[in-house]
Amino acid sequence: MSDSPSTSERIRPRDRDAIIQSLRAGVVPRVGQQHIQVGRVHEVTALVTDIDRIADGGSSIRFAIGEYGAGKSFFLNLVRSIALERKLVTVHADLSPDRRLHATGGQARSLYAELMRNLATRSRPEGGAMPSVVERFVTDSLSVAASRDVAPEVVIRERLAALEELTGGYDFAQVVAAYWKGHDTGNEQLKADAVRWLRGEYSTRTDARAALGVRTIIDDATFYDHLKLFARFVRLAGFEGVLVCLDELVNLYKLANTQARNSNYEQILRILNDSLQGSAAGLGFVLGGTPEMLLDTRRGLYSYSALQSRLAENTFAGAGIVDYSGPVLRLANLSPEDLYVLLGKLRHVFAGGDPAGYLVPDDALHAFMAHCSARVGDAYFRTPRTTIKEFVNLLAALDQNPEVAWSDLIQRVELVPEQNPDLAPLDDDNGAASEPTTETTVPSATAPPPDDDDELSNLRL
Amino acid sequence: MMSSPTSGSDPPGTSAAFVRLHPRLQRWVHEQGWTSLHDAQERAIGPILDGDRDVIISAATAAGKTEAAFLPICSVLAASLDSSPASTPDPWTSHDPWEPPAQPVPSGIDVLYVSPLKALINDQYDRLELLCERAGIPVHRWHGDVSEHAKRKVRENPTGVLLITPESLEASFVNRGSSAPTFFAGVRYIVVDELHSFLATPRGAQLQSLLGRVELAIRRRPPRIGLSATLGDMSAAARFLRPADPDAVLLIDSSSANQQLKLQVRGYLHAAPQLSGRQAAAVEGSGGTVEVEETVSGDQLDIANHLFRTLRGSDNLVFANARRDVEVYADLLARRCEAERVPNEFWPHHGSLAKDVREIVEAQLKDRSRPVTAVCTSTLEMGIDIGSMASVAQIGMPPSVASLRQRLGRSGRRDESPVVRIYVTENEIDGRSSPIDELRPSIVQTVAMVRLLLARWIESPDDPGLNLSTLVQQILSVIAQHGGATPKELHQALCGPGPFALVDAHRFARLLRAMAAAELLVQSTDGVLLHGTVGERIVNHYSFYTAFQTPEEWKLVADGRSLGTLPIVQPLIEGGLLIFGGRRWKITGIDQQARVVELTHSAGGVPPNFGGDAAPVGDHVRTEMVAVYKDHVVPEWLDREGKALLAEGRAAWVRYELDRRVLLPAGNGSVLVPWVGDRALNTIALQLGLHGVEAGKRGPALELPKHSAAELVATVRTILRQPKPDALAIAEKLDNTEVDKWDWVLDRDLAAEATASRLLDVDGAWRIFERIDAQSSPDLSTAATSVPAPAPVTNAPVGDQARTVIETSPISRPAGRPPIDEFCVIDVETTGFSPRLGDRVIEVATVRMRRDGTVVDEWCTLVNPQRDIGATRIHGITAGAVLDAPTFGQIAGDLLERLDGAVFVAHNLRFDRGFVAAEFDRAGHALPPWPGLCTMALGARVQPNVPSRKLAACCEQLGITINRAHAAGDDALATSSLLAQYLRLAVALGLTTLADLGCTPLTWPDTVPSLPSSGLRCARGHDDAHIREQASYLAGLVGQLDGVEVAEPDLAAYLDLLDRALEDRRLTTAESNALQETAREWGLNAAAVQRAHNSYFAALAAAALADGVVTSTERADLDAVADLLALDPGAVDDALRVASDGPGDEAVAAATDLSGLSVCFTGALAGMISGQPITRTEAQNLAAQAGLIVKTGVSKGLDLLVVADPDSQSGKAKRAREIGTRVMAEAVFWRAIGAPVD
Repeated sequence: MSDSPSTSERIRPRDRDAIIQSLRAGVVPRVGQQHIQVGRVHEVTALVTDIDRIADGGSSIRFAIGEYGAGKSFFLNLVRSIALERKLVTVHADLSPDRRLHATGGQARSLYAELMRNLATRSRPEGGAMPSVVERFVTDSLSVAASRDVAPEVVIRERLAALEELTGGYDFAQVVAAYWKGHDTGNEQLKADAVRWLRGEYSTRTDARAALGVRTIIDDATFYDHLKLFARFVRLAGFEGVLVCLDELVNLYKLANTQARNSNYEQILRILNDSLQGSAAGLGFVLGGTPEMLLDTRRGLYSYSALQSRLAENTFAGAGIVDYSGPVLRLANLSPEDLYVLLGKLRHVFAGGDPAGYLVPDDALHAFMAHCSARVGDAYFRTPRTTIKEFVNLLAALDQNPEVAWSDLIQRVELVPEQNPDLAPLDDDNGAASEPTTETTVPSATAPPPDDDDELSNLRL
Repeated sequence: MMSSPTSGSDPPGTSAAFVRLHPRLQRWVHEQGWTSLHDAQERAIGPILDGDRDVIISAATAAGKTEAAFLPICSVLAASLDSSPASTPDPWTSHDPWEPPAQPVPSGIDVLYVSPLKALINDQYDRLELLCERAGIPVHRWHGDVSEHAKRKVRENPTGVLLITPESLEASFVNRGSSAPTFFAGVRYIVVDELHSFLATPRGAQLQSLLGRVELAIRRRPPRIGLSATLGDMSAAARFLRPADPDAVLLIDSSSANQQLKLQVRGYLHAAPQLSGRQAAAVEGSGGTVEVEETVSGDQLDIANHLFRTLRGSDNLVFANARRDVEVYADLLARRCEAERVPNEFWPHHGSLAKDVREIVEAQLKDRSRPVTAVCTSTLEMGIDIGSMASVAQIGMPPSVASLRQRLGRSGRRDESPVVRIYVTENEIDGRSSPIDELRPSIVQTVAMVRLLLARWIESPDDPGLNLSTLVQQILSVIAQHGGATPKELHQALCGPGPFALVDAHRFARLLRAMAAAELLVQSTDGVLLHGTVGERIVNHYSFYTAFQTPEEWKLVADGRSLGTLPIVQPLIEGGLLIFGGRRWKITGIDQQARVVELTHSAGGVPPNFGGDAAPVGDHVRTEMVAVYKDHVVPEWLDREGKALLAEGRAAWVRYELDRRVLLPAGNGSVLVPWVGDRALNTIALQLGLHGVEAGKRGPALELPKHSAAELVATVRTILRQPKPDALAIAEKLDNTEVDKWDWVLDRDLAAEATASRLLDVDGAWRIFERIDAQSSPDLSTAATSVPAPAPVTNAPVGDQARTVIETSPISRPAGRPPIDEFCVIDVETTGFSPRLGDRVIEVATVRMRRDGTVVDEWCTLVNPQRDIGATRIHGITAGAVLDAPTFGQIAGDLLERLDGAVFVAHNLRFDRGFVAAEFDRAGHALPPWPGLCTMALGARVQPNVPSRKLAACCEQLGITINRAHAAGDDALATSSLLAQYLRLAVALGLTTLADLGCTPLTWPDTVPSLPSSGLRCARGHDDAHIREQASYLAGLVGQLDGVEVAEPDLAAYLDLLDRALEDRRLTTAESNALQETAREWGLNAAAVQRAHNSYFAALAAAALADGVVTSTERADLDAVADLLALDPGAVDDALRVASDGPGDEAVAAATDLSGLSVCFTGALAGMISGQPITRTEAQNLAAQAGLIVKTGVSKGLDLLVVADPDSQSGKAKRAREIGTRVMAEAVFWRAIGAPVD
């Protein structure tokens, strides 16, 4: 990447606002990632290779492993945007206790539904693209039927026959056929029901049967089978394949129930096996997790011995030798130089790409980094999320309070550890603590509570 | 189902509260036919409708609490359902301070109702469905017995009212923590039913924490509504309901006071069962059948019979305090029904029974067509709506006043008065009874509780403490809920105002470390805490959800049907019997792995032991007990036996002077009755334990089995000299601190802190210590002694003998005290020899004698020693004889009355005075140093040449006969005669003052304890003399001991003891300890003791040899005694050799009078008459001439067998040795009868 923190590239206001808002909320922007991307060239290259393989009808799986706040989510989003550019369909979701790869209480179906809600295509990168995918399949079939001068139904049947050989394929084909029927007869309800089914939103068979005449639904047990079906379907619809991005794999690690955890690892093993063997056509996975989640032999992926042997990193890697071809992709920490470039890019984005609008000089970037380094130590390199957030907050404050000198504000930057908002004490006076900070406050989003319990903040057992 | 309001003529339409209800709820009220709202409803509807504050509704059972809460709640929900905010100004939704009025409440559960009991939830479910149906609000129940299917439906469409237990709420957080925010998102009200049952319990802490977590999940605070029939201290309930702001809680106390109550407290005396446990086992072991009635105690049978007679034919609840009692009584009553050939109406109901079994009983109770009585634990105490019962019975003391009030509320709904019968059993007073039993604490505590109840007082819950055990659970639960949390997050989320408020950051960190050490937690690199290996296993098991300790339970199965569960507190064996569910079962199989016990029907059975402790009793109840003791009013609601028991208790109170004292003697130790709550008692016990004083709690008292009052006072003074520790310091020294479920996790320090906060009341304990200290100093001001009329000092002659002039002047005495002119001879019979080692007086006799020998008073009584009776064969008193005797404490006044103004005289004064003083000490009245005179010592001076100082020997010397030795009365009389003679001799020797006679001390006591005389006496029976006849022939030998010469009076006294100890030829450990103790007490060194033993043994050997023959029996006896006295192996031979050189033949002859005895000869005789060997016939003639009765065979009736060779192996000699007949050498015999045989 560029050595200079500034570029001359202009940024659309819409992208600028989206990026700034996302970063201030501590989440990864869905668009414009390229404007703030720094480092990790090799990692990105590796994933581009994967995407090419998927587009060729192959399969892939990658575990993006990095510390908390190291930029996993950002990386996943970047990969996703690349995949969209390559005419892949992407689905993504964060795993959570309620959204797992394997479950019996509806959590796997819930994950599927979440993935499908986030279904994105190049034309609809924000998600919710399921109807357009199905619609595209139908219109594509119609044009084929027109060119061959046969009934569209015949074409659709022919094409769906390819699905029926897979597990659950028959009902899947039935549902797509139902969509066609709705399309044909102008029955919008039927179309909506079909999309609903495909999105995994039916929770009971009776409902599905009443609406669509199929006996099965997408449920916990058929989660992965339906992903494979869907991958084949999108290829029929004219896309290159499906990239599945699963973030927060650490939530499986945190599952309290041993059995539930192992079942999920077993599901990962199944996906891994399929991907490595290339038997899931046009389907790729990127999973984001922490090193602990991978390496902990007691409750991490390594606790499942079949996974451990498959995911073991190249013994030659490390100490300068790198291997970007294995399933595990270590996201290297950002170097101070990377971070400096990143801050520069943030300044650039904030200014809408106009160097004349920079709110702070380069000195401020150095000063900010020096301040953070002094306050937090080198931990802030490993977890750039809070650093970025505070820097953007700083810029926002300067933007609205031009009379304030940046050097004064930098001294007041506080980097507080992130906290689970559900566990924060209720503020009985008003809801201020949970609201985003108003623009007039100094750039510390959550003032540290008057603290007698530093002991707990830094407690190591 | 709904009870109609009892009073009021207002149509509900005019009520201010009524008009605010939603029209559909108004219609519902009309349909119930209510003419007015209950008071509680009237007052609660408005504030709950407003929805801006927490409310506690306390009202009597059936006063419509549930409706008071749910009428307004349903109104609010119904109004929302109408979804017509524009039509009318909507009063229901605009008052939530945490939610802007415009914002619609999100979907999810609308009302969270938490109840402690599944059964109550089922019941409320039926009830609320009717009410909520009207408003179109769904009602769901959610607890362990609800099907997964039903739960799933609720999860999919959470709305309406959710009835849930704390445990299920916990489970929903643990298993579906991430969905909690949406599931509870819509909660507008949180209702806690039976609020009081949660106060100050681990479960309550859990509930408080869970409610806080609900609020955290939904980021707002819905109003909480607490319901309870029984709340003593409303502010404590408010603190529980809203710890952060208790003052803002609206308290609605609507307990109507003017309720009539029909009450009876029935007293019973415990009576032993017909068969003891061992006997029953023996009968069953031999194939016999043991009926239940034979194994339960008599009072239980009586109670069961009374229950049967009074309860049959109506609906009743019988509350027992333990599940075991439930089983026993249900079984007894069912068997009565069977025996009377009537349908069984009595069924057990407790928490260990299977759900369906319980529900059948509940259904029967609700069914009014057939009379049913449920014997139950607190399971039926709380709100399950089974309608009103005809009456309620309580077996045993009520656990608490609150519980009693709750229970009586079960009967007498509608216009009837509640009917309550309380059955209280007290222990029989016998030889082993402690003063605690004499105080009748059960009946008094019951009376106190009833009085408090009638005064409308109820316990307020104690300070909740640290609740660390529950905090451990909550930490694990929050981690499960969120998939990990940082220490700080956990602390913020859990340790705000509420159950864990006392856990500061530092303590919390220590707790986390302890949890990590126990492998409950691990920490990931980012600081997030996750479950450790052990933690994960625990959380994944369903038993995690309960905060309170539940022992592992066995499932009981009969013919494939589940009967219920049984906590494992007793070992179960195959083939064993048990009673469960009111029926008798035989155990046919035990599956250890699955924890299943298989049963078949059986005839016999023993009730299973269920765990569980009695509830701790608070200070106030104990204070009220004191008031009951002091009061003279006898409540009319006591039955005859109850009144009698109360009177006994009050008498004991007076007798023990408990308004002044907290310390009583009891058995070998003492008893502390400070009348404080159990926490202070615990603390006292612990503190004493740290100072080596063993103390056990029993009822309202502490028993100190091994320490006398004096020793305790000393200990207490030691304690008081040290600075008062804080509770922590005491708790730190405890070992067994695992009380609550997770206490095992805590490290030593935390465990100590938890214990200190939970169990101890240091201030209360120290107040008691100070009282003990104060009590032990004699109360001088009130010492109004009962002094007998002073007798004039006279120099009257003793009989017609020489004048006895005893100067009294050397006795210094305080002004106003009469001069000493009388002697009080005291003799005691005892269980052993050392009062220090717990031996007690069993008989005491006094003979009051003037100087002139005139006996002015004789008094003798058996004394109940409150322990084992000791060597009956010595004193001839049987355990049965002293059963009805007064205790020493009771007759202390009588004794003192006789002693007052007189010199204490005894033969071996040390012994008798030591015992008397010790007994006074035990009774709590130190006997001041009393002038005393020892006749044994006096005899040594006035009649120095008597070979033995034993009373019998001394008396014999002076021709005084002892009617029956070792009977206190006769011994005392003999001693008094001896004293009279000695006084005479003393005058002759010029010993004219008390000082000359050896009276010590020569100071009259300043103060004498003031004790009332009871007039109690218990004479010894006349049929016990035979016991002494069974004493062995060798015991007789000891009686002849006279060779003990001792110059040292102390040694003489010790020998007297030794003689008593060895009289039965056994030296028990207790006796040997007593001897050592006595020696130490009296300052005898080892050499002196050895001297005493040697001289005693020498005398014994001489006695054995007195007849010239040491038979093998005698030899064995000597060996035994040598062994007992730990003499050298050669001691016997040495002693015999010395003895044979000792007293001459004449002495033996003189001491042996054989006339009247039966005699038999055996073997060839060696004697010669006139140079010719004596023939058998000649020998027999000689014997006959000497007055002996000649026998030809050896039988038990034979007194004497004469042999030529002491080692003769003739058949007669062998037999004689076998049956213990005295064997005498021929030569000795001839000398004894003075026959001219060589």
